[in-house]
Amino acid sequence: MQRDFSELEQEAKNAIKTAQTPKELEAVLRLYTGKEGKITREIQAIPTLAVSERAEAGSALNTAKIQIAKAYAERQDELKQRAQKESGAEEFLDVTAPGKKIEYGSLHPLTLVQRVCGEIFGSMGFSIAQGPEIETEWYNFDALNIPADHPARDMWDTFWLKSEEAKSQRPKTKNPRFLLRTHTSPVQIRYLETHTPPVRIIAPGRVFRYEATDANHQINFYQLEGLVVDKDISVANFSAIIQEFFKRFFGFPVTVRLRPSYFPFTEPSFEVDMTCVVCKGKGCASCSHSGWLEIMGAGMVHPRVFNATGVDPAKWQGFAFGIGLDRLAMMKYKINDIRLLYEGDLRFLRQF
Amino acid sequence: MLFSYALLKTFVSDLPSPEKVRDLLVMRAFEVESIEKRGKDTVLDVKILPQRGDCAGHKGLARELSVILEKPAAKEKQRIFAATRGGLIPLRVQLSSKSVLRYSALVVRGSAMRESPAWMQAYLQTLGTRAINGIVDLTNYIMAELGQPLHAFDYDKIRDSSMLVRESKQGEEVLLLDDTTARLPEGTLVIEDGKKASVRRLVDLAGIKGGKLSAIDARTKNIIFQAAVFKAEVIYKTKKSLNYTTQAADIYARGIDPEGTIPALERVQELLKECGGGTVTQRIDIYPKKETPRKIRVPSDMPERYLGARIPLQKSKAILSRFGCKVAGTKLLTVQIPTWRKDISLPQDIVEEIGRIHGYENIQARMPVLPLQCPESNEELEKAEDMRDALREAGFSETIGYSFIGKKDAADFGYSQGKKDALVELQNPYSEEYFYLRPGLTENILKVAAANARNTKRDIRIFELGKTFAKEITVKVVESRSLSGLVAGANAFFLAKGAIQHLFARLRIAEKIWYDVSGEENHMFTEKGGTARIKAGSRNIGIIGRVLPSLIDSYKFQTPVAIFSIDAQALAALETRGISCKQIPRFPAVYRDIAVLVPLETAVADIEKEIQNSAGPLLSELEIFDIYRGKGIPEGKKNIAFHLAYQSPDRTLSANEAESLQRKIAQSLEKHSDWSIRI
Repeated sequence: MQRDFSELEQEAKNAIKTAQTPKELEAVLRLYTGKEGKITREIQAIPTLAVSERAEAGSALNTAKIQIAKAYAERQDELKQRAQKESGAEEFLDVTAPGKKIEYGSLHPLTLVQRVCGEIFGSMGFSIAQGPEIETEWYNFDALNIPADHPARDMWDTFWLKSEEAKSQRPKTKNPRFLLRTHTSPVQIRYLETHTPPVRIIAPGRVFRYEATDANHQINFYQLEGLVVDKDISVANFSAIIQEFFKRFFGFPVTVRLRPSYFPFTEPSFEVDMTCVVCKGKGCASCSHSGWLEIMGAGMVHPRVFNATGVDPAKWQGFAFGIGLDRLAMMKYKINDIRLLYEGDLRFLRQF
Repeated sequence: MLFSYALLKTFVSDLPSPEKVRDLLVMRAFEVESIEKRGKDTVLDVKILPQRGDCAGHKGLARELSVILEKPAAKEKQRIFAATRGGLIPLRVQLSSKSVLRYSALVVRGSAMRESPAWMQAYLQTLGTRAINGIVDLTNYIMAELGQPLHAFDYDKIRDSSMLVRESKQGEEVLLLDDTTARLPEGTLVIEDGKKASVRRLVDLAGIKGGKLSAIDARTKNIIFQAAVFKAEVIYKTKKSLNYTTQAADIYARGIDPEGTIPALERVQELLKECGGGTVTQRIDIYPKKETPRKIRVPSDMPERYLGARIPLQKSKAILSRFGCKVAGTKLLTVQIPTWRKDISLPQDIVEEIGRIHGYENIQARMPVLPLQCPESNEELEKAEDMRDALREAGFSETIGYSFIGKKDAADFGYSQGKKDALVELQNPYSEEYFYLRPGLTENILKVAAANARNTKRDIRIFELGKTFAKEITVKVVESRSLSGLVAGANAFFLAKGAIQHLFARLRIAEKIWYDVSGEENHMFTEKGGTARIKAGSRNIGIIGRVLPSLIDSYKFQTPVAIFSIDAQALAALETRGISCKQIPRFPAVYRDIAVLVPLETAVADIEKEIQNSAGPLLSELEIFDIYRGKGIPEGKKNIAFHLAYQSPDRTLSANEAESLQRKIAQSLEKHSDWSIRI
């Protein structure tokens, strides 16, 4: 008997058209062409047919299967579009309309600069040390070989705490007057007192100077101290390390140049110049056409500093340096006035 | 310090051009601030380093230039020093202080007051010194030339021809040349004349400024030229405590060579003819302890070890001998230092002299060879960075402010009543505006926000993390780390609270924190009813609240403002840095909502607590998604809507179980007579 499969095909197509959800649609498809589907079963039954009928039945069933698959795909698209419409998605997507605004904050340029310094020096094995902002005269001056009644004291205009605040607080302190630290160098003393060399540290932090303020000076600002103490540390090593630091910090090959200077806590002492970041050494208005910018002070740790901290200067030697972080930030981010760093103007801060 | 190029040239043969001199000085010795043509001469402003008293005169700087230019050390010219006695009662000078290292003087009879020669006036003019008369100009010129301060007294004004150099007693006064009176602290060097106690007077502030009573004037005929050397520390101390200085005092305070007094007086004698003339009748030289050259032992490999550059021993020795040092030995060098180099006392000082003359730019940069060593971690710092990151994520901008608050701020913020004691004062405040050390960060943050509010219509969200200072009960000054933030905008309080909740979540301490509103005390910046203490367990770690209307007014904010202030050290101590993962729930949650109508003044925290207590451990999430009052809600009420999730760690909850928990919660909420469940 010749069987007619068109009725079955129509039935399947109707069911597909009336399916309301993707799930229903899947079920309909399974019902007809699934493993145990009606069409599938007919195909499996072909071998039971008379030999003469087999070819025709096979071809009809195959056509039916293709038609069902086509109807399924169409219905699937319809349902997808309908779902999209229902979910409110507009048909016209205006890709030029702004994206949803993300509310973000910003970190202060001095924080960013400290982080960068920490990373660069950290990669060279430097740890980060810190000290208090209120210091004693001993840590800020005497231990650093800056005795009272010595003209070297004039190099640091100092804020002193009122005398009644200056009662002995730290028993260890030999000199009990209190002040706002004028540099980060006291951290050298504090660190060497509590650690045995070899030592490799940086110490960033806030320092204070009693001086007139202008576009380049503030009564409080930030410094980064560096200290390396080992058996065989030289001026040549200092140049290499600081050159590497500047190179990474500013992102171009910087060279440094040392000039004689004087600091009570280093001997020899240097003023350090670096390749001008503006003209890259060619000479411009920023560097008075010299190609060099004066950037920091440094030197080999003075034996009296070692003596003050109980380190034997016959066994250990090393270098120390101090960089102004405000100046670094100003150079890196092209900030023309140091006051911007402390005024909190969001039109400035939001750029970071 | 100003130097005349022409005068330098008289000391150094073949001195290169002024520009070349500048460049040499900059790279080998001192910074040069400026170089400027003045008439035929050129003046160089050289920043002589504070330890180099030997370069305070032209002769000294010329000596330095000779070393740099590789010229041999100049030989001292021997002059004849002779006095022709007679005509004046000999001057008697006594020293009673150990701080006078040498006192040399000449007494000159029959000098005629007149102008100094034109060449001398020209030099003085170049150096910015006013010409006065032959005698004063002579002393000024020789000081510039040799770096040895000189002073001229009128011999006839010294009572009893007798002078005593002694230390002052507290409160003594001396009338100075410029008609001012200096009231002296104890221990300042002064010169007193007269033999009998009744006639004695202070006639000079030694080493700093001459006294009016012994000053030379138009009628002066007989003169005492003093070339003394005083202890640097004493002069420095005096000029500091009097807050007064002169060129002579500045030179003395650096420390100079006692061997230089005689050459200076010889120069006086040499130039006297041109400056008024007269006969030297007496020479005085009191030198209690003759300066002997220091000897320093330096291992010959030390320069190389310190500098990291190979400098042949021959070269090092040559540099040192040009400086006037005598060098002996090969492995261990013995270096004898000339008396004028008071700054060289250690082997490291020798290394510096060799290094800078060799040229630091000739030292090749070279990385050290050190063992690979991981840096120590600095938890305090890392945790501070976590806090900054969290607040930045919350949309806050970091500010960094001054460590000071003003006198007016202290009053404005209510430090006037008793609390002022807590403020740390400075002995030398910068100004009224920067008067006290900041007791907190809020004062400055409010000011910064107010300034920003004038420039923007957007919400302001800022924070600062920094050191603050307080005085504890008695005298102890405490320095601590604080974290403060501020929001100005329509929804200020909840933006601020959202930010600190985010902060606590990022530091993984959210579940340790609660908000205490039980406090009755007045807060400095925030409204009494709009403030919560932030607590961790029983510990107060900070405060959050709405800023007082009076402050909003005085800072002219147009929106509500909220602030928070947290003890950053306490926060760091709480922070949990390690992450330990919890299992992801294996069984699905069942989600339900619940809404409750309560009086306006009900704290939502109380409702949450009630829900949590009644639901028990199967309640896995509780979140407020709406707080509503207005249309459809009775007057004086608000509607609080919650999302709830129920979940079990070991089975799938049935809808029935969820419903029964919902009913349990509803019953317990409705036990409060003025709360009602809305469906």
